[in-house]
Amino acid sequence: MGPLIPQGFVNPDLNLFFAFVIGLGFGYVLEQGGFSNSRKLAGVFYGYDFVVLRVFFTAAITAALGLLLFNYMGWVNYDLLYINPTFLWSALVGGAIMGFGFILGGFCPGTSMVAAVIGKIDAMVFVLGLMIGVFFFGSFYDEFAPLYTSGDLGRVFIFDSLNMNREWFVFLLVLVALAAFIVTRKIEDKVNGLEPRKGLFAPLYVGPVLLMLGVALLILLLPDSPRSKWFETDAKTLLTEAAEGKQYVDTDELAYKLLNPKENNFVLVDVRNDAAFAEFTLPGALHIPVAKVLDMGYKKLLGEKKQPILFFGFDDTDANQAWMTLRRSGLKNVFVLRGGLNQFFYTIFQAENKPDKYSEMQQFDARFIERAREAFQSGEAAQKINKKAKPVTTIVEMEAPPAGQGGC
Amino acid sequence: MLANAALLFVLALLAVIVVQWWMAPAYSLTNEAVLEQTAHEKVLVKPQQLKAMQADQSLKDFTLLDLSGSLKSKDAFGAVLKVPFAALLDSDQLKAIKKADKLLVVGAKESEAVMAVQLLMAKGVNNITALANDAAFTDQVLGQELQADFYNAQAEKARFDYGRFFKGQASGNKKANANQSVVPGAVKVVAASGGC
Repeated sequence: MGPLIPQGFVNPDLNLFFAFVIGLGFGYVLEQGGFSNSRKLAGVFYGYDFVVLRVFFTAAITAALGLLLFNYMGWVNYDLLYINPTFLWSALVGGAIMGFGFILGGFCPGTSMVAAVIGKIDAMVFVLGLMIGVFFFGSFYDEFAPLYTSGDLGRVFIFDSLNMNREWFVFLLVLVALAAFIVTRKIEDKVNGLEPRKGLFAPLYVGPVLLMLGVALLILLLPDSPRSKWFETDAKTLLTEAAEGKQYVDTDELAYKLLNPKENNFVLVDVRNDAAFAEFTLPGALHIPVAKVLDMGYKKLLGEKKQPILFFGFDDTDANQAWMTLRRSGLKNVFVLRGGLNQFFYTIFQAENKPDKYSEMQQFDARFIERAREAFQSGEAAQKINKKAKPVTTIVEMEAPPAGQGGC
Repeated sequence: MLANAALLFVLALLAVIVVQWWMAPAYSLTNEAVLEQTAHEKVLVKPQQLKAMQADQSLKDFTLLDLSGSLKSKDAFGAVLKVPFAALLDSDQLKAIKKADKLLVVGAKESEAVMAVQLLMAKGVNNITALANDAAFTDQVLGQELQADFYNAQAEKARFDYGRFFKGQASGNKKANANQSVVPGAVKVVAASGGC
């Protein structure tokens, strides 16, 4: 399910269920479009019916436009799409075999299933032949393998090969599709011996055609992604919070919570580099370097946390950077350890406390610092927190299917 | 029927885009692009670089944005804008800031300067970098011979041997040692200081 599982739209456990439902919908649309009729399907080769071309071209440009539009809106991450690698020679030979089978039987694999399901005997024979072909290929794979994997071009896009902008390519594809619709209509009229129909399109199609063109134009004009998103926090709010220091958590509070794990509701996040983290971090802290806080897996992980998230670094420069980035992206429950580890260690281990001279409250604070110092130095605090620090790994790792799998 | 439904679907999508565009705050750069520039690229000018720029007079090409209001070495820079951090995005201040070709930001703390860079970049200010450390340190660097220890000084440096002070298993890589049965002195400490 392409980018939908890693983005959290589809539960991985329901993957096959959704595939089944989408498959049913696809079959229904094919049947309703007349694709269970082999005469209609073969018409594209003889020129009397181009509905196959029109339907698949429409599907292709709808999918392309929808994908780019959804990508712009942040609903789908285009970069997570799995692209099948191109094996040139097997594509050419396979295309020729499929074309021959198509014109001979009047079906392609998907439409033969649809026709077989509604009880067409020719389709059932076609499916049987298809299964024999699959079995034959599988049994003699080793013999076919050199051809099957020859001409490996990797994951190539046509627009890259043409050295062209992706959005321009889609726009031109829409224009080519519209031109194909007009031309095939004329060919159909001629082959079928009909009076040429007036206008470029049937009046019913004018609206959708204009819509397609409009969306293609919109995609051409829009940037890759919006410069700001509707859920982001505005700059003035960020500035006000930063100027008032609302994001800061003081050393005392963190020390208290480290000493009392039951009251520690912080998710500690160490934003320093890998080497620094490996050398030392606070007990139970996650590791997310500042440059990676917006990476999809990390952002999702932090966004799902119900507890307050506390960033810390050596000082508070990097932690504030992480805070501002995530606050802007809409997270509310994020905080920064004031002064970072350096301030924490200075306050607990180095600052001089002379409680006798100060108020009761100050004496209380000083006693607490002393208590914390001894607990941290003895290892008591780390012993209380029964979990070790762990680097955060990407939540979903997509495993690419073996080469050649997939497609319709 | 299907064509009308498709039409309605696309129109609904377009309406959502318009509403989202209307609701979105005004930024000139995406969050990702700002992070890319501030975290991946170098936005901090270290003391050694600052000293070199002072020596070759290139510092005069920069406008200094002083957020602290306490910087003394103003003559070293081409121009100086004094803007309190809290007023950074006031429209008059922003206009003046956008007029500068090259900006160097210094704050009362390094983190303040970097946050200002993040906000100004997001608001469309280009050619902007921050000075490592704070205004007082910058005065020190510009006013005297640079000591070797200060060459790469910045806030984000380890100032302690953390592991020496904080005993136990706090390391990110080493295996947890938290199940150690006896921690010498631990009980005694609890009894002695009371805590909170």
